[in-house]
Amino acid sequence: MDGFFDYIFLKNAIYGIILSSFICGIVGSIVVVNRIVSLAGSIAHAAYGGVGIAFYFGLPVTATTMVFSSISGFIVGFLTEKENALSDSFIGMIWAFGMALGIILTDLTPGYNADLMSYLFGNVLTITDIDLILSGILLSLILILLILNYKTVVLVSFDKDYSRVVGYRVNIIYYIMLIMVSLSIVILIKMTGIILVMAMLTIPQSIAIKRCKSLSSMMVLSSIIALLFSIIGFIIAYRFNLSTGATIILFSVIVYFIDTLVNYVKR
Amino acid sequence: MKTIVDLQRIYFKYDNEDFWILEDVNLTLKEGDYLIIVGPNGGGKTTLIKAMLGLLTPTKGLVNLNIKQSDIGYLPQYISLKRDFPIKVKDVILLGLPRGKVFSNEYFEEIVSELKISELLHKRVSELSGGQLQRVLLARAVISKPRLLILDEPTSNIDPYGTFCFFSYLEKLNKYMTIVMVTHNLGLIMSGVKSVACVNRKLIFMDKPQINQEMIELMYGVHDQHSCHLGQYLHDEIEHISRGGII
Ligand SMILES: Nc1ncnc2c1ncn2[C@@H]1O[C@H](COP(=O)(O)OP(=O)(O)O)[C@@H](O)[C@H]1O
Ligand SMILES: [Mg+2]
Repeated sequence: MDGFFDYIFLKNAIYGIILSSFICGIVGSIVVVNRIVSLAGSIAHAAYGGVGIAFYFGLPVTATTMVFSSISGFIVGFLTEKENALSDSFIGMIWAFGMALGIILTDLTPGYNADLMSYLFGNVLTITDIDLILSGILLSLILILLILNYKTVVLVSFDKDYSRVVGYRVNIIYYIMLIMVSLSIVILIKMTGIILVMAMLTIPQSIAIKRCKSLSSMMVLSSIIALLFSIIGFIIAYRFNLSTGATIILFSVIVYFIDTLVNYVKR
Repeated sequence: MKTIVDLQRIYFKYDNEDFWILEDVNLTLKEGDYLIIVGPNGGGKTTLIKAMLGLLTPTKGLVNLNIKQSDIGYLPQYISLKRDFPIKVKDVILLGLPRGKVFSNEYFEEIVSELKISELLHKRVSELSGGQLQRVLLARAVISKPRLLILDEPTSNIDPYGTFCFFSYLEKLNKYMTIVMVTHNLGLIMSGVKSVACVNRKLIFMDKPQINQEMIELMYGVHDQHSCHLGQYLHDEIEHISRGGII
């Protein structure tokens, strides 16, 4: 019996890892080339506020957090539009605000003993079928939007001013990208936790960006790297009974540094 | 001739400043014009161009753009774009095409050979020098055969021979494109230029390729802190211009 349960959980974990690797590879590439890593970080951390709201008011967690994150993504996007010195501070503020809100609301929720750690680091072994279905839907949605608008995404990410001059609706496209980022983060948090999401949105991409001559190839390569990192990290964690998320991150960062070092020495 | 852009009594200041960067600026561009904009650093040339493009909204005054945004080609002054972006030179050029517009191979080849960038097409943008990037971005600006081509100091990083080729190509393009170019390169450009605007907060317009005394005073007369050098500087400047064939 034990072996059977192990198998189901493992199967969901592996499917979850595969789906989230592709979401991270694609969305993370957009985050990295648009240089909105800290903006994405603030959306991810602010999402905890959505979790708090859901618990406090007894609402469905994923849906509530999705709405909350899309709104906070929109607000950070709006506040940072001018790209001045204040932008960074706004990002930090939203980041802290969401977390504080989440903590206060879970404090106030009777009978709920909030486990912040599980949202920070996630747990791939608790991935449910519904999580998988939601990620599948999100991944398809992202792929469809991307395939239909690939050139626009490249142009807006590469050179906003020029896109504006030749008549693209840059702001709308930018906000759609932010909302996709927010939704992805929410879906991924459940599976991987806030901190692992940020790692998977940036580390594989930083390795891939140097080696690619197009955004699409960067997306593919990042997804593959994210998948390798996750699977290898997962196996190590499983074998030595460590936290999966933290193991994956440590493994990724070590590979990143080795890669950087090798590139440096080569030169 | 059809009016393409019309600026009426433009005043501009930046949000956090309380002095005018542009004051009572009027300018009309007609189809087929080739206008160069000259003036000192900080005189407001880039600001004027951005107002024309709709990237900045004037504090007061009217900007009438009588063509579609997608009929504009633009080469910005500060190449603010992301050099580490994973993209090939060829794709950068093709990004200049509006949505759904196909390009003719023949025209693409023409641009690439005129601007001498055929060896660069499969490189990543991160591998280009400043001058190479400027030429690639000019290619991007003209690939859509825009009706209005706006260039902000396009040759500031290009070597003299490259600059010469660049200006000769512009002269050709002017047969079917209206051109506005900010430049400090007064000596070389005279081939084909039809009018000059001198901008230093105010604008003085000249309907032929000439710079007069009034313009020079507008350009340099206000920099009192350098007044001791000013006489020599103006002298050199006029020398320079007259060697280029105008005054
Ligand atoms: N974003 C900005 N905020 C405040 N002042 C600015 C900004 N951009 C330019 N300026 C100021 O406006 C003036 C004109 O700048 P600009 O149009 O770039 O001049 P030019 O292109 O002629 O060298 C300068 O004094 C500059 O300091
Ligand atoms: Mg300028």
